[in-house]
Amino acid sequence: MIPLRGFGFVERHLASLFILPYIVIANIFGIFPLAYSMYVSLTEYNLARPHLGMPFVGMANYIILLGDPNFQNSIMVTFTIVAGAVFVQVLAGLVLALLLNLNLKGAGFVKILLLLPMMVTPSVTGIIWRILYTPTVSPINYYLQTIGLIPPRWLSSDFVIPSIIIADSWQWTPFVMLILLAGLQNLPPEPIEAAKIDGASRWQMLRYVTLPLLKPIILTAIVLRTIGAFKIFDMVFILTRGALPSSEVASIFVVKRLLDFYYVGYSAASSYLFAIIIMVISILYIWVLRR
Amino acid sequence: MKTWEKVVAYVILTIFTVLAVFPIYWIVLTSLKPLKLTFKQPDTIEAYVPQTWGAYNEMMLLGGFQKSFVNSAIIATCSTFMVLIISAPASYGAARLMSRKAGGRFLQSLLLSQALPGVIFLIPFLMVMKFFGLVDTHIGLILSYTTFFSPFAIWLLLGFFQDIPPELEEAARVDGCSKLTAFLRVTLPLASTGVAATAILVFIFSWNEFLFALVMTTTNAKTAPVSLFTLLAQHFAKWDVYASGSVTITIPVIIFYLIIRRYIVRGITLGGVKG
Repeated sequence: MIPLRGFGFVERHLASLFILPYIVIANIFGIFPLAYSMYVSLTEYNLARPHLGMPFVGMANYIILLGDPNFQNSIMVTFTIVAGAVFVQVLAGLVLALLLNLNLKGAGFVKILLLLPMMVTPSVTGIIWRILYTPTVSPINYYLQTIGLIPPRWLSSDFVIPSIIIADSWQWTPFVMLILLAGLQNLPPEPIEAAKIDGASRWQMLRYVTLPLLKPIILTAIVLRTIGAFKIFDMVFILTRGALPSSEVASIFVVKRLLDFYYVGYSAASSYLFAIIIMVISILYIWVLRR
Repeated sequence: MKTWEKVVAYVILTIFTVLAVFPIYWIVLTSLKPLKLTFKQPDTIEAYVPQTWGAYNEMMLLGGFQKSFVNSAIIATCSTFMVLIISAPASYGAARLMSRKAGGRFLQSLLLSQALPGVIFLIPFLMVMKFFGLVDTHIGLILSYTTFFSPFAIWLLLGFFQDIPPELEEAARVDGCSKLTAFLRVTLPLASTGVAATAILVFIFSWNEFLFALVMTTTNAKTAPVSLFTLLAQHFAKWDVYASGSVTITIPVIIFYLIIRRYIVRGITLGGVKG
């Protein structure tokens, strides 16, 4: 038996003591707030009328929300952005990862340049694209006109969603590229060697060997980007300077009800509905991934 | 590979590289050009070269920007320390001290919490901070970030702790170390690169955070990204100043990312869910 040094109590309960600080923090700032906000979502609490207190209204906020055209709009907007952004990012990320995986000369340097957008602070991405989308200062509009194209009105309500998808894809395609490249580099070499010996062409190898092997990694990238895109806030908020109705993504819906209208109960209810949607999607994805 | 295939590959890579780099080049350029040149069509060489630091001077005088950078630095640094103090032991506990089953369950609950959108915590946090008088204080944001980024840090550190062979600790224990000293003297120093990478990522996330900073701060503890929004909302069409603020916020982040380049995949895969 090895003699214990120091405090016997500490030694015996080290696992619990090590976890304890996190458990305390998680309960005070995690579990309790979640429960509390669930309660708030069942009340009609309005910061503009604090003297009314928090009258309990049951599911009323949730029922009103489901019929609120603004909420329906924000869910639609969010889903459109998520679908568009994830599609573009996975496609472009896959092409870039496959090209970088060829190990051409200078690929290392190109990879760093390609990664730069991912490192930009998301709120700054909003400023960058606001400059590129504002007609009076946009170099893009100038280049488009030079080659004879009429630039779209990027931040108008008709075009703002594609504009957001472009800006989000600029920032996050490198992330998908990086995950897929790591995946490609960790693929087992045997099936690829075998296909080579069997005389498969480059396309056949890609189609029948590499992509099927890479499928779980592609799915992982899709999951991560879907969850990330659902929570989009900083970039859109700055890009649209506090948001247009046509670009009111879910997080902005919640924040606006809170900050602009002081509907605390309503805002809390919307954040819960929104969280439920994300959780359902995450669980669906995990289920698909496990299969 | 045939030559034409290589040419195609290079052409596609070049196009994407230009698409990736041009927006960054343009914002740096906008911050270093007189404002009236920004409004002119970029059809002269003059429009493509940096010329003046004027916008940076103006930015430092405007909208409490200087103070907000100090705030951001204080908040991000303190959050990073708090996160590490809480997460390093918890992560080590889950990796080595707890039973496999209990550790696994603990880690799974962390992962689930990561998928929750940040906005769901907005209202209760605001109310709790109001109750304790912590709205618009550094402590309020530091506590929020500590809560948010700890699950991420615990997961990231887990991998680094698991990379260290348990035999080393066992050897230390045979030599008479307690479990606690084995952790402090053997495992922690060996995992120091991983701990540093984790620290840098937590710092970046705290530095970048916008949603909570926007809702929970107004003047006293306002962070740099929020200042950027205030500037945009209050000063019309000051493109050079917006740009200089943006560049100043981003430079430390890019430097930090480049330092921990090797750990980006690991870090971002876990942290990419956060928001």
